[in-house]
Amino acid sequence: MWDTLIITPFTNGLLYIYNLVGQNFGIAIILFTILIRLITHPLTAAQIKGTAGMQKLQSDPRYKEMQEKYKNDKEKLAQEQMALYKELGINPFASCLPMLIQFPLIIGLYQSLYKAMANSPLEMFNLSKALYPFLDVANLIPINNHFLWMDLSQPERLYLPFLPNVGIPVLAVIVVITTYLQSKLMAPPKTGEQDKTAAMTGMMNIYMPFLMGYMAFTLASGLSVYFVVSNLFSVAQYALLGKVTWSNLLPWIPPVNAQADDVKPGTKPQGSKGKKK
Amino acid sequence: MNQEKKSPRFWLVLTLILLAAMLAGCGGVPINNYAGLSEEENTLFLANQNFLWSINAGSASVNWKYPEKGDQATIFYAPPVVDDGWLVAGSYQNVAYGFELANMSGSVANPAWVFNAMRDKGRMIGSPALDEGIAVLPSTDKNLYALNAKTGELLWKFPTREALWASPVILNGVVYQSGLDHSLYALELKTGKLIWEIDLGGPALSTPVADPQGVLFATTLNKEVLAIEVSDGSVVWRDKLAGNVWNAGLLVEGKLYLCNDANQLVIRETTDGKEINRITLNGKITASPVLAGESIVVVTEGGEVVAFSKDGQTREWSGTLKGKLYSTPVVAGEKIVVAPFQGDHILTGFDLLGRPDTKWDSFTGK
Repeated sequence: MWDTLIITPFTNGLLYIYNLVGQNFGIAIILFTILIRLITHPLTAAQIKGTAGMQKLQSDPRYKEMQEKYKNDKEKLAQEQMALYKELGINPFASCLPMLIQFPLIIGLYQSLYKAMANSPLEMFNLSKALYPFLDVANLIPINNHFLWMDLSQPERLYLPFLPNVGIPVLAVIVVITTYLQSKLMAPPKTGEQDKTAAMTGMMNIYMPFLMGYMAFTLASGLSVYFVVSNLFSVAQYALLGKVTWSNLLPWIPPVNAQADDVKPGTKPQGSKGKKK
Repeated sequence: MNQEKKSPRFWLVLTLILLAAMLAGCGGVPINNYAGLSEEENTLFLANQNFLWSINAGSASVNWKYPEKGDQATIFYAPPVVDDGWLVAGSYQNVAYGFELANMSGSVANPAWVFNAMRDKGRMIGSPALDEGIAVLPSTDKNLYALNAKTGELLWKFPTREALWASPVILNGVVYQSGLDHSLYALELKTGKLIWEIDLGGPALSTPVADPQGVLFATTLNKEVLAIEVSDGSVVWRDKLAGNVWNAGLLVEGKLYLCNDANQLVIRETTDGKEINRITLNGKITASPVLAGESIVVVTEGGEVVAFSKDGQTREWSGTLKGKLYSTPVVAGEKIVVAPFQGDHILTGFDLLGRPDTKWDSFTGK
């Protein structure tokens, strides 16, 4: 099922684009990544809205009052929270959905990259079986794995003429930087009320870049190209939706309070079924 | 003291971080392939994952293995080749190894020489060819290497335009090598000098076979078979196939036997390519057919082992194993040995009448 729904379509999509762009696998990965992100854009937009709503809620006096009132009764607290979410039209899981979608996409792309760059007779044979009728193995083989200085089927290393025995993981460094930038620019501006959440988010914003960097260091460089393009696309998405927090990165820019598109403290969003105050 | 309640997003991100760490931990570049088998003087040679094995074909007992402890830094899948008491094998790390068989003692072999052809910059997917004390090894780094088979010294290197996956064929002092660059090259064995080169019309993965009349039979991923005159590279005949041929054909008594991934065994006349018979089996075929006694034996992805009469008219016996049969079987005396992929056993044996030979079941590959 996984093969039929994810791996095989991804592999064929990649190879179709590969053929279209003159058999350049690096360009194919870049374009394929953009295509996947465009398709999942509605989910990302929903996440942004959901996140903004949650941020706003945490400064709502009713929320704080509820936290204090039911601090010793977790079950009641949970019930009241869900009722408040419903009244304000907030889905607490909306911010999680894009991540849930992204992760299988990453795994799918990882597996389809390896499938497409068949490195042994068996892998080549399996690739030939997976091709859709509009692709012909005779026209694809050999797959041009090289992009710029990289072999996309291998972990990336740059060897300089004066340092022939030292491989510099340039792409892994770029992945770390872009992941960090993305995390910073997409994090909400800091306020006193959100300091505890911000502290938690801050920790993740440090762990995630290094984890992604480690993955880029050890896995095929084709996947690292995906990470970089995906990170940059995310920043562009947020910028287009007006949700980039430039002040997190450029401290001379004054922070702007995050405004939920559809939620104000103490009110219900338009079209929701909650009671009006 | 109030505990900060973690949001669902926090737990989800933490879970994803752990999953990502696991994914990275699986890391590296995995290589998945079927085992390579070869045979020489009643000894079976097996290249499988991290080891080379020498196995007595009569008793199925292990003579030796290399290395002592396998690791991901050394991977063997291409069948090793033996000539004049020397065994040569190429690894997926682009390193070649030479073993002097007469000097083997103990259960762990040590190579007499090791040749590093730009380690990890390519793979030796095709088997080497040996003749006149020269080992010729194709590599996916787009080079064909010729080494002194006894010392591993590099004699010459011939660059091609694309990766070399097929094994070379040596005939009368000439090396014939086909490549993914669509070319078939003829080179002098001793010097590597190019004699001629022709365009096959498609990428070539399978190894050509040559007949005593000086005709080479090559196939391409364009689903084509070509008969080529070895003296000048002229095409004697060419024809389309229903499927791709992934391994060498078999020449027996003036007939060419080809197996393809359209589930077929096809028998053709070598003189003009005329099709004599076409048999459809129950699975795709990547392995070469082999001659076992008076029968032609074919194995399929579906785990089927089938023996036919030489004219293909009679199905003499068959059996089905658990696992997929991608590797070309070997015939050692009165035994046929196959290497099932993801089967119950690494090696399985039959006699020439198709009766299972269970002593191969005990080989564990460890």
